[in-house]
Amino acid sequence: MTANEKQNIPSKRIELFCGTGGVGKTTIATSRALHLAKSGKKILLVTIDPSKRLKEVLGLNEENAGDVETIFLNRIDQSIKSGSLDALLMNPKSTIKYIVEKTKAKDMLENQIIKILAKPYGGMSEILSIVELKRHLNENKYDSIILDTPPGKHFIDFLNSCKKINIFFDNSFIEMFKYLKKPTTNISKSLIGTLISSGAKKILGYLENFTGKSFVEQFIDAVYTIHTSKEIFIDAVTFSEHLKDLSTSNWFLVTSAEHNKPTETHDLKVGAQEFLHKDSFIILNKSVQTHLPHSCDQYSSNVNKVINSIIEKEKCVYNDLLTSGIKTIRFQDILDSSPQVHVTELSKNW
Amino acid sequence: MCSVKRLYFITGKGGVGKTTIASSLAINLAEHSNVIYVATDDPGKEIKNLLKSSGAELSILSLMDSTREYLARKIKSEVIASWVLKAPIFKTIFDMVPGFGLLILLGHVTELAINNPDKVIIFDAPSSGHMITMFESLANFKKILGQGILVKDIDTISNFITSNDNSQIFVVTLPTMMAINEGIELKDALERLNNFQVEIILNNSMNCAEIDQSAPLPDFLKTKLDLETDILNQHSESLSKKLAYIPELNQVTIIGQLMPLTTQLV
Repeated sequence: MTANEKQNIPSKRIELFCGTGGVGKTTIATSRALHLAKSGKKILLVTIDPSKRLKEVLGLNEENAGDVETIFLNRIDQSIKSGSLDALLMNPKSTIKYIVEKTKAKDMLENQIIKILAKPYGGMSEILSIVELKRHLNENKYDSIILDTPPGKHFIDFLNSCKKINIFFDNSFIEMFKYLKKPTTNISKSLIGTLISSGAKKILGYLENFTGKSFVEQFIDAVYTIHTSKEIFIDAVTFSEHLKDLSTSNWFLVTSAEHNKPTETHDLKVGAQEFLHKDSFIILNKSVQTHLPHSCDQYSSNVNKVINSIIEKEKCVYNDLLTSGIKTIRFQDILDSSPQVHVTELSKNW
Repeated sequence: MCSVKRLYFITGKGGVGKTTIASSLAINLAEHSNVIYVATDDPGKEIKNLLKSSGAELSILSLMDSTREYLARKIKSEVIASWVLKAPIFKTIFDMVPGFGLLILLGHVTELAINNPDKVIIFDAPSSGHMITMFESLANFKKILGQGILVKDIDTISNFITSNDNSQIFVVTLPTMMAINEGIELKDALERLNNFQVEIILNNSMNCAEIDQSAPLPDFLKTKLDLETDILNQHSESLSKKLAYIPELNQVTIIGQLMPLTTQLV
């Protein structure tokens, strides 16, 4: 398998790109979007990565984060005469607004804890991005949604922990929070059971010692508010089922020939085991294979040492990837400083 | 070496060489100081042996262990701490709000520095996004909590790491346009959060490697060098600290060759 061989991988409703940071994940996801949009497909390109490399690649305005923006393809590649794709930089705040519109859970906008956690780096971005993605999937407006995920295992870990989110929406659990919010004498047997087994009351008691009463009250309010929008969250969590479905998703694990930590692709594969199916691919980006000189005789020993180390490194990474049992595709290193040139050149691989 | 700080954070995207640089720096400093090398991921047997033989102490902290230890100290009971952490509700909160665990980790590392005034802590810190979440958590949780023991701890952490004599953050990046822009954004984001002292380290610099550029070069290497020169010229102020590309494959060999170069970092 050499670089620049056309892949012709049929598109699916969800195309997921994950990988460690700095390997070119965003650029490659965008190249896929460009390729599919060029062939007339309706594409939504989404970045969940809060570092938002996508804005650099597509020239997006950070202020519009949270809104879908239509990008004419000639903004990326001037030789393309017509066509466009939609792009979205995830913004947790807009997703909360959408939830509030849908569920009238206005408290969500006021709760201090939710407000803070919904900041881009506040820690609720994963669950909210799933809500956002499921919304676009439900709307059925696009042939493919192309997903640029946050670097590393983080997003996969999140998908794995999706099941646990159900705990929030377990009825007895929420009954318990109602009770904690406003203790009544009418406490059911099952509720007592939940209170004891989850240890929630005791924990909240401990928590209060540290944090003061106002935090505990806000916390209970936050859980309660989220619960009033439970339909949206429960539906959103089913997004991970689509990712396991061969007919709905393509998985692309992206790594790079110059990456310093090849084992991370293995970790990613192990983490995503539950999701990966036949249409999963590893992309080895920044391959120098086709750039290599035929003979090294004319170069100094220092230069040869550098060339050899680059060749050997790629060989090691590639051989290592071969043992993964997943089809590995090489993408040639694009030697240019313009992100648009990168996307245009990389799109020819597809 | 009179300006050695008490606590160094090494961050940057995955695969930029954080662990390599953190261990080279730890080994370098261990020649003259007592060093504790802290990481959340096990750096592997070879690097651990290398660090130990240099005299550095090692502390591998997982988020869960860190939280358990902290909680145990606060409520003065390891049993209850383990029990709290095992409760389904706590696990759920822990998974859904990563900033919480990261804040406790930051507290743990800072306390290590405060309690060991004769030692230098090298922290192979979480990667970019998590690093911002971790530092932002200081302000976020202070706001959420308002008052109580935890807020006092948050103030102690903030005061220690915002003092320039105490701590230094290094953002490691690679010589491509996207990587450098991202490094600069991370630096700006951290500086905006608080008065942290942040510097960028350019790793794998081809221009710093011993390549005779007047001699014949293969085209791809020449283009790589030219692209890097362009970037360096554009961002000369941000990129004062550069580490050369080491043409080796074995990580221990790379750390050995990088070690003397890390003198410029302190």
